[in-house]
Amino acid sequence: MNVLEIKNLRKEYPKFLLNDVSFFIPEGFIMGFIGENGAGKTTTLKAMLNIISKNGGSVRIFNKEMDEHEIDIKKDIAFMSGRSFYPKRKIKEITKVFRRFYENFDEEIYRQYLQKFSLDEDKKIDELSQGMSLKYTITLALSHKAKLIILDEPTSGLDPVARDALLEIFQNIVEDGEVSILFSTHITSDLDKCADYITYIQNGSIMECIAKDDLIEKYRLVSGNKEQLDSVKNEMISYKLNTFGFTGLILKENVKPNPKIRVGAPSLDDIMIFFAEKGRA
Amino acid sequence: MMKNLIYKELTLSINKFFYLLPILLAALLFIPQWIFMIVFMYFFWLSVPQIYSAYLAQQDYEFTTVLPIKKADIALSKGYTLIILEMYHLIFVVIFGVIHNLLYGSYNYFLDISPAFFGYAFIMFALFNITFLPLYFKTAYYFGRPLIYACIVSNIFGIGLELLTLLVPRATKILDNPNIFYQIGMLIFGILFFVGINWVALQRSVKNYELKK
Repeated sequence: MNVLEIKNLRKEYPKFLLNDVSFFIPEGFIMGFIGENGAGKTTTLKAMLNIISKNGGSVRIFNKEMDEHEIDIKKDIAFMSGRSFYPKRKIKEITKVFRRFYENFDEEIYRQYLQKFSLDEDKKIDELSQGMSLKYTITLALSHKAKLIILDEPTSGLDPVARDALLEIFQNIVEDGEVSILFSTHITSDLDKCADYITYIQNGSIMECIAKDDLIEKYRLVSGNKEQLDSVKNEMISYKLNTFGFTGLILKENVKPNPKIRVGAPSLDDIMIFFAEKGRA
Repeated sequence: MMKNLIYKELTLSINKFFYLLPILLAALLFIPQWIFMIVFMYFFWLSVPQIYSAYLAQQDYEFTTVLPIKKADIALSKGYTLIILEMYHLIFVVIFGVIHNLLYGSYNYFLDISPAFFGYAFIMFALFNITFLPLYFKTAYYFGRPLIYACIVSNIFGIGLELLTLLVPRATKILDNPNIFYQIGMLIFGILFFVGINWVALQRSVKNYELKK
């Protein structure tokens, strides 16, 4: 079952168009939502959650239409970004308000996670590190038993150790298959570690929505010297010239055996960079 | 849910200082022979910009928009909260106004502190709200221009009444008319005007917020 299905989501701005965005998240998996800054990731998330109005398209979450069952759906959703809310308030003050909105807020789970993450309820949000502040929002999400957690660039600004710890937490959350995560980021190395699926957005259009391993398997990174460039130039999605020759991205099916051209698996970064290069060409 | 949202506004979104400020401002009524409409205007000049900029600084909308609530209720709760704060302000002005009249008598160079004065205050608050709220909720982000327009409209009304009282004897006779029927009538008219105009302001705010891009 898909926990989230977006079809032809459209949002028009004078200088930006979210163009018929469609993608899905299977239940119990982590979906990485990648794209450059300004590609439309946050706009998609906000339009999807009715935070901003949309110009067209449908959003189904937990098999319910968002437009008709917004409140019901939001009871089972948690949304968090790297930015902390109410920085001058104590954890306990925010929780006291937050719990009033969720009938199924579970005090026991809340206490468990406070302890697990070593969170002191008397601390103000701006006294916490960014990693700890994110752990607090995760605690809130898990305390009201959110089934879909949406993360908007949560790891931007975190140090590598905190980032790694957080990714491990995300993996543990989806382990039992009940919670799904939509993880928007431009730091693709995070997704190398934890994502099962990848949706790639560029200039407001979805380029790929596919299992991460299939995505990496679908493309190849090719490199060679300038003499070999002409033989593969037309097949490549895009390429970059460097001192030694060229490096480019190509569909695996278009790779022709050539001992002088080196072929390897691309990283998510490579795929994003060469698609962006194609967009600029 | 509206109860929870207003609770959120009053306890989380708004700093405690803005519950102390109306008491401090109401103490300005101890100044003899002064323009007392200004006491309410300080709310527009000090509290409103601070509260609305704090919504941005605290990521208030980020927190609120994902709660399981109707979008319309977000705009309504912020509108109701503004009204609650205005009433809170008014209560302290009434208390200090009574003390003022006991100390100095009810005569004032400018508008006297009387039931009619509070009727005018209700009208001024209504003018502020109808200008500020619908315009602010077009973006739920930029509050500068809506605030400037709302201050212009409400301040012209408030200062205008005060100056008329000072400068035009015929106007003074009307505005400071001690007749109890005029006094109570003006207060009731002010309250009805406030309720009616705020109803329109809230409806338009909700509509603008729901259509917000």
